[in-house]
Amino acid sequence: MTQFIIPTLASGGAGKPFFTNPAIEKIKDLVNALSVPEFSLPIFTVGFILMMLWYRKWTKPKVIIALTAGACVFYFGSMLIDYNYLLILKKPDNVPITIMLLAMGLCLWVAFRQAAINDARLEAGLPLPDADKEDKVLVWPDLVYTEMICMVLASAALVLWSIVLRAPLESPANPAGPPNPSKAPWYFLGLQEMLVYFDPWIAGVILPGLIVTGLIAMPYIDINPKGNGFYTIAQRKFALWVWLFGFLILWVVLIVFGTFLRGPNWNFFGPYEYWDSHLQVPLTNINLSDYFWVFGLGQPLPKNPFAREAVGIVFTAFWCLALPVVLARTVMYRMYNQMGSTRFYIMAFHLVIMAMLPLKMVLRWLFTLKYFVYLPEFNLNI
Amino acid sequence: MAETHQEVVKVWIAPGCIVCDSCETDCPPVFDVQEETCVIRPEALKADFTKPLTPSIITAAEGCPVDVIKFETIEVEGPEPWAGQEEAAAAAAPAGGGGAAKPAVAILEGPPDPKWAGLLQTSHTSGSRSAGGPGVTIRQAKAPAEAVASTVGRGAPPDALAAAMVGSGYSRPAPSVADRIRQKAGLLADAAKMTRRQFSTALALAWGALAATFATAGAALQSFMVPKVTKEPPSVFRAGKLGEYAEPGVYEQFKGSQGVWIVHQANGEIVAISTTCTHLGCIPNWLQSDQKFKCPCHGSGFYVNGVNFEGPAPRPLERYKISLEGEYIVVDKSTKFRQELGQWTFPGASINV
Repeated sequence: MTQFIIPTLASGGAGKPFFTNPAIEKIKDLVNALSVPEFSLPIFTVGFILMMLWYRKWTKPKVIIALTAGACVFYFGSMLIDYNYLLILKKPDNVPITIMLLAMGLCLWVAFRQAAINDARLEAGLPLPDADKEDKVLVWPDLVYTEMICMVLASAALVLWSIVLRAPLESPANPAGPPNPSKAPWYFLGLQEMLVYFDPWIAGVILPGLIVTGLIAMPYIDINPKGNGFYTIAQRKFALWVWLFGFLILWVVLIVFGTFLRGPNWNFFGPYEYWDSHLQVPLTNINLSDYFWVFGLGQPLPKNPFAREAVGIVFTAFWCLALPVVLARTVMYRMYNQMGSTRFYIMAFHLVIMAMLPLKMVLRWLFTLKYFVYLPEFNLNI
Repeated sequence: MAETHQEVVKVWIAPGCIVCDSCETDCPPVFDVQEETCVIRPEALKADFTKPLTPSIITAAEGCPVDVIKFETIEVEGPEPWAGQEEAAAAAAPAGGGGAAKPAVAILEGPPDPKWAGLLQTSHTSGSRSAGGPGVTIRQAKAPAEAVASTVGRGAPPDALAAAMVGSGYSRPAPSVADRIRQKAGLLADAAKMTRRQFSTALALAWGALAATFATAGAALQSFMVPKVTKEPPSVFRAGKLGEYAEPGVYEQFKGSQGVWIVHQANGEIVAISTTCTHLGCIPNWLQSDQKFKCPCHGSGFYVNGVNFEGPAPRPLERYKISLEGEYIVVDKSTKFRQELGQWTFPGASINV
């Protein structure tokens, strides 16, 4: 059904956008230029900071309705002005991303709205809105009924979805001609995007493993008794800033990049750009050892691989092992004293490893840096 | 000996109703007199509904001129829950000084229905006694149900009627769902108590079952230790005659079947390059116009000689052993040469033309 209606509506069936004029083209060019990760990730990060700082303003119902309406007009309306964007958005593979964005926005708003109300009341010395309610409810019927209703609705939605949209099956597998681009399932596209910046051992094994251990460790290292049982941001600033940055910017945004903006040969394309499989993008990358020995000291690389990579090894060791200690002694000494050394170092180790991803991204964009440590002799590249 | 009383658990109409409206007057929650016969209202088919209405059902059965109302009773321990409540309600009403409960109580204080009063003079046996059921003795109780029902009016919602019935002692509120769950959970907890020996036995059995499961699964894993399919394509293959590769360039005819590119490089060497990306094992594409191998998974790029220059690939594409047998080119995939280990200069890594 949608396969028939939307292209007809939007393109007239000729691969051309429904609306177009020079002003719209200029806006599209601007959006394309800003969508490369060098610009868009900092923009998203600034948006994230503003979201965290102004959460009492944007969560007001009138403001959020206006923001949502504007975002939806931009997001869905763009289908009318660009055929390439339409192709991306109506692809059955990408429908879950749209659903994820809508659902995530709703959940974020619900949490931030309650946090804004609770924080304002706590500041004014008032009790929390549900302070007088019983803090226990029955599993049955309260929980089980809710779950049953959710189950019925979710099943109905899945049945409807599977009827309306065809399964995105591709041609039979052929080792001589893999699909271009080859994409992981949508929920793994954040990992696939990380793999652009790291060796598979790091981005495919170490970082996902540390995500899991970090999630496991979270209830043991977060011993802040404030904010138990209600939404708040003012009382759990560090935990929420770090967590939401990691989840929203380093996971969700990367999934959207991988889904919408990575095209043939895994090149980056703006949302309104044609996916040209012959696009030439200069991606030449240089290792830290090359920077140090060849460009810095003007001499050839040493023969011994460890001497060659000494700078990178020292830097990585400092970043992963010494930086937590430095943090404990300087800017985070209060947190260190509150948490104790074991909790703090587990937290700080995960924190600096997480920070390596944006660090590596920025260095890749600025200096086309490939690896800090480049030891292919031992299959070790960081 | 504990005190017991009878409660009606089932009520039905035998054939022969003359549609006299008597029963509906006596007990409107249960009986519904229609055009041709009297029927039991659907909600009154449950024992929980009829039990609290026992007195008025019995009254209706006694008052039926053709004796077609039949019912069954059970014996329940304890005093009658509806006995004596009207006295308490009547006593509470004046003391309360007039509250919200006043209308319901006021009816109770009114003159009793003559038929009800007459029935109360004596004890009766039910009409169902002839059917072999136990006899039922009714006692002096309180105002008739019809009077209670009339306080809320015919068109009143069921919950108002139920509230009036409860207030006048005709009905008991059902225990809440939560109370019933708690009671059940208490019974289960009592039933689950076990001795130390029983607990130890159960624990040993459970751990034994778990160990047996894992042992079975572990034994099953043995089957994965050896390959199921031993038929492999031979790792050595003939890649055609040397003359087929006269022009410099990338030859892709063995990409699909063998995973090998035969590359005639500009310096005159012919090499066999593996089609597996050194980043994460995807299969790159040869882009003729760009003169590079480009991986569709993460964007790694390789020069025509296999050296990585862009994207995340950490090392160059691997080369296979290549040799000449007469005029035929032979590729041996069991031997690999890696550039970062300095193996590309080894004999067999390339052939010079």
